[in-house]
Amino acid sequence: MTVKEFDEFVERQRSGASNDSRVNWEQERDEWLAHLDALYRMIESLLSKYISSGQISVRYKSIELNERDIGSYQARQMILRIGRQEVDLVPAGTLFIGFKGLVDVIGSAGKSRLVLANKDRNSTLPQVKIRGGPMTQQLAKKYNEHQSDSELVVSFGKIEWTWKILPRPPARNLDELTSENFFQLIMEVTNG
Amino acid sequence: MDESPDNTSRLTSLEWAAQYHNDAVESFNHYLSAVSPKSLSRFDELSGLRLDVGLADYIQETDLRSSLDLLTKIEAAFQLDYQFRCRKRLKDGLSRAFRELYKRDQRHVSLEKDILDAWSSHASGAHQLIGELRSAFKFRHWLAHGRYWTPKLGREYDFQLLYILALTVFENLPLRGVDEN
Repeated sequence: MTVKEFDEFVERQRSGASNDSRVNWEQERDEWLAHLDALYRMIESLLSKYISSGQISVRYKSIELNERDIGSYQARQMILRIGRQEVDLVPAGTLFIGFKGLVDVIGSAGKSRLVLANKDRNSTLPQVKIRGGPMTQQLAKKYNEHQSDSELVVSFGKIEWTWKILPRPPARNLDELTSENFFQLIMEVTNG
Repeated sequence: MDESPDNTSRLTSLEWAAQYHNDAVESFNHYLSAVSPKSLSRFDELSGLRLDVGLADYIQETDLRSSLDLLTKIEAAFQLDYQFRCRKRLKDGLSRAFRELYKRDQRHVSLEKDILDAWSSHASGAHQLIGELRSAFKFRHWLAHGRYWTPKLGREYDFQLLYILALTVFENLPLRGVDEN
């Protein structure tokens, strides 16, 4: 390790931190946790018939997440008990390739994943434009103003976030989280 | 910079990796299911619960191996692109930056230190994607070097997330050097 190499390392880290400082990470975390609460309310609503009859029970526990840009924080994990089966909805973190949040759905027979995605996004592949050459000043300004909305979806309007089901590769289509899709997902992860 | 090089073979290779991974997981599901004769002969002293733990371990191991495969495909794509741009003496900013690197280190350039830095500087809109790749390659080091330490990744990676990352890279970055002479 030479001094020159160390200088380059420091510059790379400084440059990365500077680019990331445009994002308000506390706000990102709070928005993501609010969307997570909304997801749990939606699921309780989808299952209300079974919950009120005692066929399905719901409880929550607090878990710690640790993300690169946000650091350590607490989030709620949802636990569904259906007879002898247990299905856990485990928050896996925020901001990944244009998704605002990820939740793993884990049962005795497998795992599936919910993503918080742009309502208009129907594919796992994000809408991202990458060009050669320097970014124009005007484009850079717009990009920087809005990149906290999403890492890669350079959409210059307000994004409406919706929970969707991430398909197993190589499939690419994101399905809306409907009651029918959610029931099917529960059956898949429990081998029901 | 060429905006639309042919990436068909890279995407085919990615789809093949996904199909292989899915088949491997399905195979373990059948092989270690409670009614499989092979499974019964191996686990007949164990309870059903212990059998489930064995299956989960096998599927987790398969996920890790398939994840490493995806990351090596991404690394190879960047290295081939670097070599192609240097060899063909392309005129865009990224290729010029690569030639400067080549004068200094020839083929011994570092993916994370040199190649990804150049992409971050010379391809607008790629900064966030390159940041995600840097993070994923910490996971790749852990996988490729024996997993003997506890990695600090800031995110848990698995085959499904890395597949989306690889797809995003192959579909969106103008990587050169495959099916081109």
